Amino acid sequence: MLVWLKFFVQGVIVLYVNDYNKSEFLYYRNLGISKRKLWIGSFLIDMSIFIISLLIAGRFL
Amino acid sequence: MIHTLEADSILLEIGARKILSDIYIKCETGTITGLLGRNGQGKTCLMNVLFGNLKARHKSIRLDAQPMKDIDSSILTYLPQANFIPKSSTIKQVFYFFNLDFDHFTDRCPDFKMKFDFKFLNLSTGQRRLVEIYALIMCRSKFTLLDEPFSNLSPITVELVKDLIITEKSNKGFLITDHLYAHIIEISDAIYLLAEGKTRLVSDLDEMKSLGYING
Repeated sequence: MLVWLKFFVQGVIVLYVNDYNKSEFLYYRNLGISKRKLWIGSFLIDMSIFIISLLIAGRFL
Repeated sequence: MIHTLEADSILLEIGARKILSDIYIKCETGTITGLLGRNGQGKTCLMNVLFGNLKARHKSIRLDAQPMKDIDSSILTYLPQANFIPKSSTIKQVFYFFNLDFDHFTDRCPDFKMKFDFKFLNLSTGQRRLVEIYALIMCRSKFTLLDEPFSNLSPITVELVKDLIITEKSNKGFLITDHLYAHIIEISDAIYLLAEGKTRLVSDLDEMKSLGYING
């Protein structure tokens, strides 16, 4: 349940940021970082923190 | 080394409307290419297609006569109309990431001398715009697309930007569009007029009048 909630929130964030920060993606494009690379990088970091937090929380439950 | 950027066969439709259909545009190292056109004619769309932000149904973009598949920042950079550097960034970060010399910048713009650590949210819209324009003019791409670089700038800053572009054109090619057409005419080596989805190379004001861009 928690994992599905995480994916749902992630989807909302992607839609919101893609729309709200549209012009700021051009800053990274001008530095050679594509939108896809940015999302993959942030998704991996975010999911790593989420999974590590789940594992730590699991130890105390 | 002189590089050539060419684009043609661009077909862009948005809904039922054909925005771009008969385009040819050429830009070379050492030249400033102006792109003029009335509102809604597709100048920004054309720049977005060139930069790969907008997908056209057909397009042919070539660098030194070779088709360009991936557009990376060592080849092409793009200044959009709106401020694009995140407000949380500092001037120091921007100069570091774009590999720029802050002393050179403050020689031209002494007002920024004490602002190296300033965040963009603490700068005025015009100051943000000036740093953005400077970063893209001076960065090491082969070509830079500038969409309305003179808007929101004071007359003295417009002159500074024109001077920077003219100085830097020995290192790269520029494609510039702006409604302040007098500035574009003054600094451009070639001017294209975009109307009804087509580009035409124009040489003087009379031609622009006859094509309905300015009043006769």
